[in-house]
Amino acid sequence: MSISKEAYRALEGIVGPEYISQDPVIMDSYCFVWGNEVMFGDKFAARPIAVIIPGSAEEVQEVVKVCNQYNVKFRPHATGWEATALSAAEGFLPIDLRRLNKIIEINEDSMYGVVEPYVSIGALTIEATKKGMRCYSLGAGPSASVVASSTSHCGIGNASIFTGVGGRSVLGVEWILPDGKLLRLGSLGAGCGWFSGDGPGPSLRGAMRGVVGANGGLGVITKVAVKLTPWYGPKVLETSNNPPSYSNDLPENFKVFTMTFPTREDVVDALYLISEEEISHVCSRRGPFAVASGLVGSNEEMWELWKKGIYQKKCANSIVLIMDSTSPECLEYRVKVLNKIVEKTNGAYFTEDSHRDGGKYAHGLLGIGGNKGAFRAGGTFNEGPGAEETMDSLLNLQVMANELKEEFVKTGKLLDDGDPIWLQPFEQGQIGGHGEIPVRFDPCDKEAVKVAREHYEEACKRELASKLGIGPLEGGIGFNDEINDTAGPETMNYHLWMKKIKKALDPNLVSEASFYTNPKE
Amino acid sequence: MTLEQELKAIVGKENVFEVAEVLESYAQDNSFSSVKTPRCVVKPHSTEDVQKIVKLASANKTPLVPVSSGAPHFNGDTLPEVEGAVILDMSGMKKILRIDRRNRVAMIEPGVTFDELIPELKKEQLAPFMPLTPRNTKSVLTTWLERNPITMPKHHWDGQDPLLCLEVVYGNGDLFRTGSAAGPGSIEEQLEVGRAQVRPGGPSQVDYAKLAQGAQGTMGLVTWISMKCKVLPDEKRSFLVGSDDIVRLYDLARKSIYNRHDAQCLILNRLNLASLMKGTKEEITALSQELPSWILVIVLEGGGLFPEDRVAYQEKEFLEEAERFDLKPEESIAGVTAEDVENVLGKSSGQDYWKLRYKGGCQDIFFITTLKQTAGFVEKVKELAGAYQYSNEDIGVYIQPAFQGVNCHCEFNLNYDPGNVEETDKVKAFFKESSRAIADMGGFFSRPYGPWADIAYGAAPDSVDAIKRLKNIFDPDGILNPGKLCV
Amino acid sequence: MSLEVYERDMTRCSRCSYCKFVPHVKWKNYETAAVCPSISRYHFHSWSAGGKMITGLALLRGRIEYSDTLMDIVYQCCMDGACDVSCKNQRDLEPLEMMLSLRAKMVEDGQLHPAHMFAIDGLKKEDNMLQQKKADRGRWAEGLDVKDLTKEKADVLFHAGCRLSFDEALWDISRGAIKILKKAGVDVGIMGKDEACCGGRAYEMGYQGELTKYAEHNLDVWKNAGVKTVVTSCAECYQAFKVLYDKIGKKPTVKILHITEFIEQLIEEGKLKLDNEVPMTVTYHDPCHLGRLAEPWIHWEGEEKKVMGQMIVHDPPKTYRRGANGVYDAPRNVLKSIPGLKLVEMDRIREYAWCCGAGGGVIDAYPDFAQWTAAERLKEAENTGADAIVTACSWCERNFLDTVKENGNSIQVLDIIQLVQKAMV
Repeated sequence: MSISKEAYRALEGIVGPEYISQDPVIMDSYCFVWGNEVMFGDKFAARPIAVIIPGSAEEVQEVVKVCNQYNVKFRPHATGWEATALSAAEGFLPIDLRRLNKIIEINEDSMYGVVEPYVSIGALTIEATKKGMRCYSLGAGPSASVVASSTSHCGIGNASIFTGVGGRSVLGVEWILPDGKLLRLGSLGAGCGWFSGDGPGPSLRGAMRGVVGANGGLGVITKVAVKLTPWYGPKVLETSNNPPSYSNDLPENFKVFTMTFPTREDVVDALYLISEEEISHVCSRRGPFAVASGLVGSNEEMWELWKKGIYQKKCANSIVLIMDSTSPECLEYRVKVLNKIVEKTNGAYFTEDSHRDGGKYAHGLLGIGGNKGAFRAGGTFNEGPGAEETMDSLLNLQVMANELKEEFVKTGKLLDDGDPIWLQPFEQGQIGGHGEIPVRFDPCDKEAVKVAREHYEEACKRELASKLGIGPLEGGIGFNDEINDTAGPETMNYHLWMKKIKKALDPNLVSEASFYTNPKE
Repeated sequence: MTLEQELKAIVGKENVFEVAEVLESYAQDNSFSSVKTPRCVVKPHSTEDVQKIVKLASANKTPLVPVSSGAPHFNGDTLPEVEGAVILDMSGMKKILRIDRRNRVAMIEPGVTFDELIPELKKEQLAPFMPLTPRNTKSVLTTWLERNPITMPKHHWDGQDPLLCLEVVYGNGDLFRTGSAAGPGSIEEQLEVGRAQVRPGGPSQVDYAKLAQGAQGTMGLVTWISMKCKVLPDEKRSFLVGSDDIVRLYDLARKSIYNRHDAQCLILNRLNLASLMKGTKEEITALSQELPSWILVIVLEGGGLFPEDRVAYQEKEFLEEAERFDLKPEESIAGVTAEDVENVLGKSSGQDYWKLRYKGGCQDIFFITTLKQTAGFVEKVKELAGAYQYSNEDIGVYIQPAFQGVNCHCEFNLNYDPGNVEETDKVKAFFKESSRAIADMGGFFSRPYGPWADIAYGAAPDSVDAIKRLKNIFDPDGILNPGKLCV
Repeated sequence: MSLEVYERDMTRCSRCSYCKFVPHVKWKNYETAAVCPSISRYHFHSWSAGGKMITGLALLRGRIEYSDTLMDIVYQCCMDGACDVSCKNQRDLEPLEMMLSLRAKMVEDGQLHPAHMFAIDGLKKEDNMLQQKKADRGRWAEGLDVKDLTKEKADVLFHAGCRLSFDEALWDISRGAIKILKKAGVDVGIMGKDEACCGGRAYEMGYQGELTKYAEHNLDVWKNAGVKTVVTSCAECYQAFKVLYDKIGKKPTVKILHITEFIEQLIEEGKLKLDNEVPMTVTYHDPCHLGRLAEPWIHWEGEEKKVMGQMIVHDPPKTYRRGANGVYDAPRNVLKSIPGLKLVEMDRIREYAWCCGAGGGVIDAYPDFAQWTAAERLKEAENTGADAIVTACSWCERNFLDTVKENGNSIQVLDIIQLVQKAMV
């Protein structure tokens, strides 16, 4: 794959020479991202054919039209912070959207925010917080894009129980289809504003994304409006301590709890009850390693803590919960309910944990995560089995995934971190939730990379065979044809419909789709 | 074999209707839509029946118009717009396939009505989310398939709610299941491993349910849905808050939604509240005259471990906020108790649909907007009513906060006497002009029935193009309810 | 360290882009969330610290070759270390050290930036970074009654630094420092024309040998002068003396103080009284070299090992410099001691402060970029409503002054010394 001089000149004419490059030195930083070694066997995927940084939606549309004219495969990325956000087996034109970086509106009356692609979840959260609101929670961390997570990728986090998820928060959308046509979803398309993304008639949000999005394989989203959710904390969160242990001071109307349970079943029962009682702002089952790693500043400290054995013994089955409240009576009620739930589910409060001070859970309060838990220990991670359905089914996933992981941990090439499953209820449990097994390893260790890949492949097979989900990527990293073509026949042949949608919206097949689908049946 | 004979071979001759009386009954509703008499009516009783019928229709290029609710219909979506259509009446598919207390989900077929579902859910300590007092013949499935709003905005996380997954037969006869119901594995295999068809998105990178929803049957025929339900509340506390200033009611409603109270929360004007609560025109008129212009209805519901405590703290917060806005929540206004209203909201309208009680006919205008903007629409419709010499007292208004407070369903009910030709014609013209005026002011006809299709799609040509491309995929022969929407 | 030492860090970069932003819990406003001038100005990912990690790895692997673009990527960077703080809030990686090694490798391989070559040639000839005559170095102190430590003895040596020695417009500051010290009764002297560069700027440019040379020279001079304390009002000199000399195994035996630390001490001891009202609202700009880059060096030698199968630890355990232990409170305490003065903070302060734009050789090689960066900071300062942006580094001052002149900002640019002088009776 290469780009012709004519095409390059046409693109350059749109953005100016300052914002397009074919220099290998520059292009190499557009084919390197954390998931590459597992997906492509190397940190570097195929080098792009050029890189372009348009400055407006109009320029993006012109770029897409030129790509159609000259048969140039393109793929947009926002902040580029995902496993395969800007990589493929074959070179393409990355459209770096970093200059589309405006928060266009934060509407207090109607509780939504409108942003361009480079606006991160951290940015929207910090600005919305000033107005008593916040964005949906996002575990990928503050540098992840609102547009990407809500329209094109995954969009979940440890406050999803209260804030909901990105994909279901979408209102009006400005979408440049793969053929260069502009599509504005919902009320926006009718010229009525940003407040709805559905209709007129069928909701075209359905073509834009499913459980995850098209990962840039279906044109370019240049603006999105997302629902904002209530934030009962202060408009500015006070912070204390120093890096790497910055912490938020716990607001008076918040409380933090870590609870431990004798069995996995008890954890799931507790998650059902907590969801139904609607008493939490943040609530998730994290592995003992993840719980402990939030407390320490480095791997050295983590190792010292781990050697004590406290977390793996006492927190093998635990839930971390941050409670918010709208009044003192509300807080009292919620604590009373939680006490009852803990009692009913054989649980206990884990009092040794300084999470209770709230301070260490900075990312939890903000609900926008960080990357130390996933990346610091080994250098990177990959997904094992993952799915989104009822907590009961995710319990079965947990058992299967841990058995699988144990087989691979024996090689010494995956982090031996206990049962690491992340169980995350969504929307107070009414649409189930998310389960995901992260496997941590060192990307410098070639053998570890190989084992991680084998683990991933085996996870795909077992998850499908056990009917628990489509594959490890259901919950996060991004589907691809390999996954879809394998899972499709077991899943109503969805892949065939998806290919038709791709073909209908991208007749020239120029929207690069390594992590979506290609309509070659 | 004729088409009718082939249909009889599929569903049995007793389920195919060709007599004029029956056909005529499917060629009329309470809307002002244009209509063609159908060729025949067929009543399937299973997904397999539907699949076979669709394949047959596809082979014969025969238009199919799906119907799931019983009469009276209101929006024109169940009326054939082309000649030679077959009505696919799924109202006989009445199975409640599953109720799952732990996951708060039910799976139902198209013919199930609210009155049929409520007692079954109650046995499992569950209750459905409700639209505003539906008619007793209304299909639960199509209520959600057509994105009707629920009265509890807190639980309206997405425009799709409370619909989760669905089973659909596409225009070529292919069967599909959306969301996590797609698989892997059959529904039985999924249940075996603890899955409960609760995840609405997907499978994979398309949200197929959203493409079928709001499509008036043009994108596929839905044979069951899974839907989220609420825990049956053990404790309730209801209030009526009256005011002549609608804006103050918005502020209070908004605060309750912001605090995520477990509340049914809606605003009615006096005529609509009176119509809901009384049976005859005289009674409605009398009550309406005693009521304040606007009434915010709040029903706090407490379930779970400490229902009394749950309601108590929310009640305290609500009353404090009301005081702050200088509003007075009442247990009763003009003899109407909040508890009576609460009861009316929890079931169907019964034999006589409340919208028809006042004058016998009712033309709705509903659209999506924001709470803040509704006052402007109210003023505009009032102004137009004056121009048409149509009494403002005959206009019902229903404002339903939705999507957790982001937007709202705004509905005007133009009551008229269908026996009065002059009034009917006046309302028809008033309806058309009001609809246009509302759209011009930024009202969004997200569910563009009848003449709204021209308004909504005229403003959104880019959506038309995309919908047509997708329609070609899911209904390649164009047999599914042709003429509706923009397809 | 050679670039190869950082190959693992480069491979472990996840491209999270945290290096582009203030650590997220410290964000106050979206418009001040960015922390890296390079990526903010040049946009292509390669200009970020993460991008340079990738570029370094690509270079090591032979995927790319030296070019003008690579030169720009590497040198259009103030080496301010903000990226390092943000990265290390999450990870155990060393982006700043990697970037220093990348520059050193370029110099070793003869890939010299023309502007830097010019500066280094000047340094080699005249012992300063401003291409000025060595003989003129002591002119700033003419008329001051201050000891010449080439001839006399004193407890304290005041090191003016290249900028304050030759930039006449800033002589108020160096002369003011002497006046303050003398007023407080400090036994202070200077080296005059025999003062030499600290070598820090050259080190940052990749000329690591120059640092060794000047460290040896300065340590020798201080020893011969018999001083107990070296005080400087240049943040870059301070960081070189305190951190870089230690880093290369030449830790000074004398006490190294920045002038703000010394003044704070004098105020605490009651030797310096600030009684004059200075009715101003000011905001304080943390110089990178006084702040995060001045965190004491932590020596570590050992090897990486794995525990729990794949967790990376070190033997012996390694402690990371994460930026919080720089000099942040002393200047603020001095400002707070001035009667009538109101200190208002910008959004980006302390270890996550936005750079002035002058560092890392940018002011020498890319003056337009230096001013662009300064302009961003001045805008932030003006948004606080302050009358003046106050700092404690002569390079910051020069860059701010040039930018104010160019852009016509209304805000004043002051050194803490100037305010202390106003407050002195």
